[in-house]
Amino acid sequence: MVILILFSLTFTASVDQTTIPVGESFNVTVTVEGEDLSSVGTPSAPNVSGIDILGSSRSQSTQINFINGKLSKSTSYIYDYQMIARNEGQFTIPPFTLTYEGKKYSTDPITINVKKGIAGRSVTPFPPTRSQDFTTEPKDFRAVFLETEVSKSSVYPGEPITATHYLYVKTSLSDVQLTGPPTYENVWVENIQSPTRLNFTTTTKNGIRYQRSLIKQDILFPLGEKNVQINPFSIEVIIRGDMFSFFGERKAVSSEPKTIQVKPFPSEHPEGFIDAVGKLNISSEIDTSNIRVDAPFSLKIIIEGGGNLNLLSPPKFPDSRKLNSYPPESKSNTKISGGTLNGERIFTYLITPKVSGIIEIPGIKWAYFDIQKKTFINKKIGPWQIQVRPSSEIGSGEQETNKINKDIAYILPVSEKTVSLIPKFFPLYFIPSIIFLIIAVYYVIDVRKTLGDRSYASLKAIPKQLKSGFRKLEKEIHNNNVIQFYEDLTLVLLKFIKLKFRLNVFGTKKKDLLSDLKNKKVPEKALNLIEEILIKSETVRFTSLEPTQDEMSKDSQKLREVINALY
Amino acid sequence: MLYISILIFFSQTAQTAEEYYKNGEYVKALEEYNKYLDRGIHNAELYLNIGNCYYRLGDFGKSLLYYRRGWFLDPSNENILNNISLFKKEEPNPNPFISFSSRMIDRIPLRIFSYLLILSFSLVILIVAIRLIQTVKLINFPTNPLLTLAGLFFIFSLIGFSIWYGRVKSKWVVTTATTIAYSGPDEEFKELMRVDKAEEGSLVREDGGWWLVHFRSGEGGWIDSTTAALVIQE
Repeated sequence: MVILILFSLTFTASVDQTTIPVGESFNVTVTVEGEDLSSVGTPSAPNVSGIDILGSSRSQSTQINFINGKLSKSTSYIYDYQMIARNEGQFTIPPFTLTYEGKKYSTDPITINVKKGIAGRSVTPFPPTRSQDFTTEPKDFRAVFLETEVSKSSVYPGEPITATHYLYVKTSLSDVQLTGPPTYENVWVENIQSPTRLNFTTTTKNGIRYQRSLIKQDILFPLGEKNVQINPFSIEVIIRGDMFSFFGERKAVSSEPKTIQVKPFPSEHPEGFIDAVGKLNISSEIDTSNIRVDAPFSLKIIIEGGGNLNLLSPPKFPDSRKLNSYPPESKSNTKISGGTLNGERIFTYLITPKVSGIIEIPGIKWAYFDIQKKTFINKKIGPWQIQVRPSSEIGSGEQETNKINKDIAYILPVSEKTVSLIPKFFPLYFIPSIIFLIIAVYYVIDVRKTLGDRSYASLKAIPKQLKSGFRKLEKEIHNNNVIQFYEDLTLVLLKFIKLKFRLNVFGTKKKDLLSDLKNKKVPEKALNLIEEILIKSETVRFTSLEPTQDEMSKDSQKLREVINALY
Repeated sequence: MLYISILIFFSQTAQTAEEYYKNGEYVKALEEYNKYLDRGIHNAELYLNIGNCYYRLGDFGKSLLYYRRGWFLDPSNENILNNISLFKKEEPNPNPFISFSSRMIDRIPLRIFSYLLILSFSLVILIVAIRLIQTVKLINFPTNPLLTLAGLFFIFSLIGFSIWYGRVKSKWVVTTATTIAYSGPDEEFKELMRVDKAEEGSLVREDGGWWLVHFRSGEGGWIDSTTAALVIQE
């Protein structure tokens, strides 16, 4: 046994027996031990003429020690190489080498004696090969290879792709290590299965029977319109040797990279489309039980169905001056089936009303791309009408409600009548009065034109004269002043005749006056009354006749009758 | 037949609205009452009931808005006055004459003042016309005292009409929700005051979706037009 100690790393190699029968396998154990060996690599095995490496395995152990108050952690990696000697003789196994933190470590060479003996073990029918990468072999002759199968070669953004990674073998393996797991670019990955143990089944590929085992299966959702890259993944296998190369051989195997084309959507995005793809439905739930100003309430938007549910961006909450909204919380309840994600995604928006009253939250337009129909499907949820009560701090709304509930007047029966603020055609109601006024004005103007200016002036003076004359007459009746009454009665009558007929009445004989009035076509009845008044006045003034107050009133009435008849 | 059908329709609607209201289903009652408005029916009782629905729902701003609309149609309606008084206790004028006149005018709706104005104007014109005719024809009619009375009647009608018409034209505003008054027509301007729901004022100017409102308290500012409504829309 050889031990090499350099700094904190111990790198040793040993053999379980130094004298070995031809064809019998033996083990060489290489140990790497030290503190903090997280980045240590795998030792390189030397090539020995006449000795084949059948395979190797690795084990690891960690030991934690607490010595003198100090914690130390020691890690050991043990590599067991199963080898077989094909020929008799003395062989020297050259040093194993290891590079760690830029320094090269080597074990001491090991010498063994191989003697004739009983050869013994069944091996795989395939001769071992020294090739380090099986992918360089012709495909039909590869003993071990990896392959990634995809469900689609061309997709729309967000459309799911199933990527299945297989290991194909047509030989026996003693060890398989996944050294580089499958990786992707420009996708969202949902893992379907990653078996912890290989489970080989027989399959035929290109007419050749293989044993195939699933390594990993994922669903990929392309992000955007960049092509999806499936990077090569790699494993290390140890192929068992045949009866002549019992120890097998360690090989590194890699898959081939794949590219999946992501094509743009066939039409322009509709309003409301963000990134939803699949066959989806949208609904909402709102808790309206007790919404108050400045108190948050929740609006749940539920998107359910099959599609890129875990990738969805939240629908854009509509802007509203009356509401504050916050970025939504998201919750997924999904499972993989039928090559996509199924279930629901719930976005919960917290909303705070800024004002009280009945507020309408505008509806949300939302759209998704239906993969089967290859078209956008538009959906709309809302609008939602909410009743926001005032907060207890503002306006004492609750107290006010109680007060109103106590004092508010009951509803009244509603009739079908319509009451207007202002009558219909309101200005038109003024027109009849104005027309009447216009007619009156026109009448006065017409009379004035007919009479001429002087006659009109005389006529206009009549009412005033008559008014004062009759007032005087009434006063004298009241005072029983008989003489003065009849003098004034004559005077009023003559003034009226003068103004009305423009006659010189004063100094004219009674007979001539009546003749002139007759010429003016004064009615006979009026002429008789005028004559009666004049005779009565003369009689009273020049005789002792004393009429009573009633008689005076009757004579005053006669004068009115005359004036009314002639005016 | 059609008339009977319409009557039956409205009587059924009214019955349903009242039933909803009595059962506490105020939103459904509102929907039924709004059918009246859709049919072009407007009266004080309808507005009172709509205001009551909003009040039961806690929307005090809209409640006052509809009470005010009903008040414009029937300012002497005791139910409407009672409900408005729960919002605003109006201070009486210290001058008893003005206070009495104001109360009297406030009890007569614009519609009645319109008829009174037409009547008084017609009387004044009639008497003036008689007086004019009297200058050319003797008509024994006491125009002077009647003209004085008719003139006073006309002045009273004109004052009442002017006051009510001024209220209509003043763009009477009721805030239907709690809102914020800014110094300019945008939220970026300085916040002046927070206006409680059911605040009354008059619209001074419009700018986009913003109203410059002068409130009864003497304060004012630009408010979001969606948080207020005009009592008289047309």
